[in-house]
Amino acid sequence: MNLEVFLGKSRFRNPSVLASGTFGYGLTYTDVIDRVGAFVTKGITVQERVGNPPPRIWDTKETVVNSVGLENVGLKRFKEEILPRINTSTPLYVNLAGVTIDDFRTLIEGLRDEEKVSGFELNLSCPNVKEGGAALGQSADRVRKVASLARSLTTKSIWVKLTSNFCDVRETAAAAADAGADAVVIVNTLNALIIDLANRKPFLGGGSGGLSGPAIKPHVLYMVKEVSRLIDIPIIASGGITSGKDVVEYLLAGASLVQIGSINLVDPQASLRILKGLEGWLKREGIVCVSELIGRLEGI
Amino acid sequence: MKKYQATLLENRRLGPEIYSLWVKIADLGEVKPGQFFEFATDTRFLRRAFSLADRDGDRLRFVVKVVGSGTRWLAGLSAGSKLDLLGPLGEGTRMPSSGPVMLLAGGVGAAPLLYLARKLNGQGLGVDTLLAAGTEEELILAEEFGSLCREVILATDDGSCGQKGLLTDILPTLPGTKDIQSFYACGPEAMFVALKRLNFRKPVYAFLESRMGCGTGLCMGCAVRGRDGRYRRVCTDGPVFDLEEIEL
Repeated sequence: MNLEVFLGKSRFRNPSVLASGTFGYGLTYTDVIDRVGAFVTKGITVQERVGNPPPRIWDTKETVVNSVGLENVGLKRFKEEILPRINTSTPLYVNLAGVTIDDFRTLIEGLRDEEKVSGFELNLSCPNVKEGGAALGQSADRVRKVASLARSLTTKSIWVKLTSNFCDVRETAAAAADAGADAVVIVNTLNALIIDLANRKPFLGGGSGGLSGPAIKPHVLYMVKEVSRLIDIPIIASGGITSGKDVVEYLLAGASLVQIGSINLVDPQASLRILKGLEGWLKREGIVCVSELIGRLEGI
Repeated sequence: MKKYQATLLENRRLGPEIYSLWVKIADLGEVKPGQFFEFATDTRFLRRAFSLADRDGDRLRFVVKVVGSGTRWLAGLSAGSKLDLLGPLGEGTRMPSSGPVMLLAGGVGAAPLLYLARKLNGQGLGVDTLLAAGTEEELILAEEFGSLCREVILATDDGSCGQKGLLTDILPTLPGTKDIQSFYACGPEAMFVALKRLNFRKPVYAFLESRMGCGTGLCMGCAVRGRDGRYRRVCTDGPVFDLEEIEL
């Protein structure tokens, strides 16, 4: 059985990607990282960020809402203290969380010569910082600007992680494709508000948060299907995957790779279980190459 | 850290909305006081964290206070139920090298301190416990502490059992506290805030509780602010911290 997927010339041993913010910097549970298709780091900003005050997390049976607020060590410490300690043969993508377009320049220039880094995921979509990020991702023009700049600065892979909050993902995805991005990631967490009713105020320390988990899967599946009809570059789907069957559904809808996120918080080994489920499904269906499934949804 | 399939052996009510769960886990290694396990529930996406309260070979004890649907589900389980557990997680506490030491337990905060008392038993350090809760009914594990400690002082907010008052009001009035070499405290946040104000010249190790995402250090969901302004992860940097080192 062949689980390999190619995005352009980049080879992935299987279609699973550990999503940014759900697997730290890649220094722990390395046995898992070594077996997935790609790993995306926690979002890195130019300066260190302490993140949002607690509480930072809330859940129901099918959802997680987080308000971590991009707590991270910043570019300098990431480069000097973290990157040298990351040791894996799995493609490493660094999630870059710029507030301004200039931030993206600084981040890419700072990391583009690092051999360990396979590519960058431009975070144009974090709902948990008040400035930049998501605002950049909400306009097709600004997505084009950031993605074009990134393209001009590096030959490494560029993934653009999009938001669906207050904007049309079809337009921003097309803009990223026009600008020469290698793939788009659909989609970051959805804006969410949790209310502490007893005190009549927002529950999360950051005020609002980002919604993820199985509840958003039908919505993200729909967006992946819609966007895949419009753009020619690969789509990386992200939204509520907890099983091998979920992976199959996203591939059928048009995704080439899938990001596994919230479920990592329930079990760091979850992606391995999901891959096993995917293999089992392929076997039962008599499918030899997983890439045969991409975009093969019928009756649309 | 490993994932375990555990079997619930006994679920007994300890007090109002407070339950004692004994579970059986095979092939479990050493667990340090303060370390915790993450329990999957049928009603929540994320696991719920509980410190180990006691251990007898492959039988582990946890104390569950019902605060939401996940804990309600756990409290409703009957013996024989299967449980999906991840653990042991966290760093656990530093063990004292000299005594006497005092355990400061507020409400269900008594749970992880009982396991510490178990581990300290027989070392000759001299372990005292100040066991406090809102009411007599909420005062849990007194008998167990009694069998493991040199002295157990009981206190309730309403005076229904033992001394009347908050743990942090009673503590300064106790004779002999000046000889204590270190304190181990677990309770509600307000208790830690008040303990900080008491400003002991001896270390106070705080067993923190937090709303956790993963419990494994991956999500940075369970933050507590350190003295340097940076957040620590309660799960992997703690859950036990020197009270001096954190801001509450």
